Amino acid sequence: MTRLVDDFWKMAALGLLAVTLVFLIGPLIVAVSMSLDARGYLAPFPPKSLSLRWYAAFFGNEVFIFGLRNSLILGFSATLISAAAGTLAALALVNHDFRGKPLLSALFLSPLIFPAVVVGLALLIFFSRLGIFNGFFRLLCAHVVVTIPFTVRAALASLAGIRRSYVEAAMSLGANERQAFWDITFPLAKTGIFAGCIFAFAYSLDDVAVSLFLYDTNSTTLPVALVGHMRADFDLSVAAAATFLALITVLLIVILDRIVGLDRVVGQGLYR
Amino acid sequence: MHVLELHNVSKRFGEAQAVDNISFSVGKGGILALLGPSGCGKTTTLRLIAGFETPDRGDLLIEGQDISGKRPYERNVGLLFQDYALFPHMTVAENIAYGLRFRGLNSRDAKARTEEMLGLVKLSGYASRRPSQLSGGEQQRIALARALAINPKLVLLDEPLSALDAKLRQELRTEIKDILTRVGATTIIVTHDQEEAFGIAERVIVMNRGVIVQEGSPAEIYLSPSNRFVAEFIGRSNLLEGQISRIDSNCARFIGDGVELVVPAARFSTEVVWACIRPERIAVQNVSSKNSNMQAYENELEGVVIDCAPLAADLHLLVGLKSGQRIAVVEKNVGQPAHARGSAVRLCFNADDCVIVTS
Amino acid sequence: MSSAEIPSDPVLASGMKRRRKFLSYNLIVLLLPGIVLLVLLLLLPLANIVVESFRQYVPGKVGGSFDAPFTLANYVALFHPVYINYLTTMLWCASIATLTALVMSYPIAYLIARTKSHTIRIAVIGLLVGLLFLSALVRVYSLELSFGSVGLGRTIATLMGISSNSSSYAIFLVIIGLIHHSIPLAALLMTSTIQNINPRLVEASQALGAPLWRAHLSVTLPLSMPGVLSAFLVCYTINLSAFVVPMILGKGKIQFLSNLVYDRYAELANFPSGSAIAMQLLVVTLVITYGIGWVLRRWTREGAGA
Repeated sequence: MTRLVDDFWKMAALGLLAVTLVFLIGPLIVAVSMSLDARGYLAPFPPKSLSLRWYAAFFGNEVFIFGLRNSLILGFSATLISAAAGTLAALALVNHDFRGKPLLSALFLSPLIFPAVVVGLALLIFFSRLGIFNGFFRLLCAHVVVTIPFTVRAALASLAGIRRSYVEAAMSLGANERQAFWDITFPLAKTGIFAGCIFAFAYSLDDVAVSLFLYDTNSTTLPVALVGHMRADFDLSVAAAATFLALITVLLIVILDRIVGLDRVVGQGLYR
Repeated sequence: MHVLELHNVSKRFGEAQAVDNISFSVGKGGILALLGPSGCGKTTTLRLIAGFETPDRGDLLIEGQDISGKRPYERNVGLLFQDYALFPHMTVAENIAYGLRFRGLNSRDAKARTEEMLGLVKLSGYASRRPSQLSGGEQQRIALARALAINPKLVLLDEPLSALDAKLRQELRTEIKDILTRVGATTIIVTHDQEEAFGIAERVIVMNRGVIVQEGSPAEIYLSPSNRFVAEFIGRSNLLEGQISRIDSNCARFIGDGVELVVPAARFSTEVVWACIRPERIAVQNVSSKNSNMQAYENELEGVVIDCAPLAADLHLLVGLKSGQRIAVVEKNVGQPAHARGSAVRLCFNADDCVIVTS
Repeated sequence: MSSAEIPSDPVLASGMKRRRKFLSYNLIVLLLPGIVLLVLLLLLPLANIVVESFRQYVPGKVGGSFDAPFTLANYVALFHPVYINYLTTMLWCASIATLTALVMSYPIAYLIARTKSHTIRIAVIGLLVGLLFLSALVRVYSLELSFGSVGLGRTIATLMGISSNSSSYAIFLVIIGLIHHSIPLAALLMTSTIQNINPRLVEASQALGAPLWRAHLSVTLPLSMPGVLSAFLVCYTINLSAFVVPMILGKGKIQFLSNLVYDRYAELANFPSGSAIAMQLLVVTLVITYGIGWVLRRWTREGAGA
């Protein structure tokens, strides 16, 4: 009898697992296949015949392409600045003990605590008060602030993992602090920092809430353009855009796996 | 002129006095071991010499020059770390050559020097390998090569053999000693392992709780421990607590822990002392088989065998005396029958086999 | 002998930080960029909206008037039944969504933690990380296509006895969206906790006579509670701050606090009121994170016998 109960629960758990996986992946498959729908209007799934018309619509839409260009430039710039500031801060935090260190660590990780709209509105009012209306500059500032937690955390983790004996060995052989940093610490910490950059870039590319407050007509980002389009005209060019963004995401994941190894994202645990 | 001199060096970490007023020196080509249990201050001393800590008080001189103001990279001291600290992102050759670039060698000379070092540690041909591809023993030898490549005035080894298994430890012990003597490197080795210290060094300094307890050759330290700590820490020993009363110019009488012994007259004092008898200096006779040919000893204690364990090359006995004391005895295993448990035996040793130590 | 502070083994004690005097003059330089950025672009603006939320709204002026007098009117307005309704709907949706997401993520987390197949592990982790990276817009849009009126919307709505255009269905859709949003993060967060539970414990439990389901109930579940709780708090906070999900899937019929903030700006340029709602959102999320977190931690500590 207990064996039957056991089997029942095992089946139930497996069933739940299957349902969850289908739930997670299903809608994405729907979106991708709908993006290839030959019909010219939004009709029920599944598409009867395939066509690339929606991709043409997407790439032909100037607003979308303009937004994509802005998003990429914004993403790269914000990630670069955020990585620089974040790595420097991590360097300071990892090897030194000083008063106020916990407070400072909390400060660097704090943007994550605040809801995105709060950050967006706060920056909007702040910039308005200062008379700064340039959309790209405002967006850049916002994205840097919002991605710093990722870069700081990634840099901290990878720097802390470097054994002190490496640096001391270098110094005993004649390297001063600066040389030891560039020869030993930085090369070993590179991959971790780069992983943080990937997270930061993905976050910047995806941001809606903050960007909606701070953009202007010259600096529309892709998510902002998509939202506008979705509210006005819910057609399948968005599906094409969605598939395109999904492909970029897959690319980022592959890069992440090559560099850091996906297995390390959750760690190995004690018993594997 | 000594290569290294320490004068009254002290270092404190917070509440704990890690190193307390120690002084010693090392001559050129000498190999010195700092031996002691964890927390005795030996590693702190090493780091003070290397420059990763600064002393609160005292002087550090290398070749007569005060180095306390010098950074680690200005001291020309070679370090072999306990975890080897081979740079994982560089090849073996790049590791060894790392220190050379700060000494102005061009790439051709650096390459030659690297090859020379690889030959010295008998790992030629390993130049393009990565540390992760090396075994523990190989990593250690490369780390040594790296430290020696810069031709340092002083080489510091931090527990060099602790990460290796017993067999490898023995092999590398002889190898390291061989390499160091061939190069003529002035060396300080820091360890808690007596075999490591006695096997490699010519002079040993025993440390405990931040102070130097005894300094001398391995034989001196073993045969004449200066106090109870050294007697207990070095080798195995039986310690009996008691008092001395003098007999004549050659020997004295020791009374304590239920036994009476004839001991050397070297120390004479009325305070509490310990009689230290090394297990291998005691001869075991079966009470039942006493015959007139047997040698007479100055000390003969009767007891009962509690345990007799044949451990490879030695026979380890534990004998209980009537007074309740347990004495450890080690005999060479030459194929003799093991003493049966419960059998009555006589423990025999001379006055010279004892050492009297104070605490 | 106190050897606790003496670095007798500096190499292995790599977690111990040494005060390297030689870099302390560089410390300021290292920290300056980050501090400047965060103070200027985060702390100051946030302090500013606190102030702004107390100002009076002057209609017709783009943005708030910077000289407007102070008032509590913006906060008083929040106690209007309509706003209370928004708040409660939001809390209710977020609660249901987070709890459901946790239940659904647990099997996935368990799978990753215990599977012996490296391929499956990498595949599932890749899927979850991919979903996390994937633009929220893409996820929300896919859900709209699948569960909206073009997709399964009408079927499900009829099953529930409502119209697919009604606000009840919109709530359902928003909850679905929040669940889809939360599962990847919850699964990844819970995985590391489960990985650290000794698998021998369940085996020991079974050897003592417990059927597998009982063994998991008494061993795996309680031991994984810390991870489950932290996943709950993180996902709950994220769901409360959700913006895109309610905006697209709610189609205007459902408003979370974040949507209200946006509306204040986009439609009326009413900064003061927007600031007040933003403050409310901030307080709600902080109270929930630290408050519930504290309560739950006390609860598990007492349950575990402190």
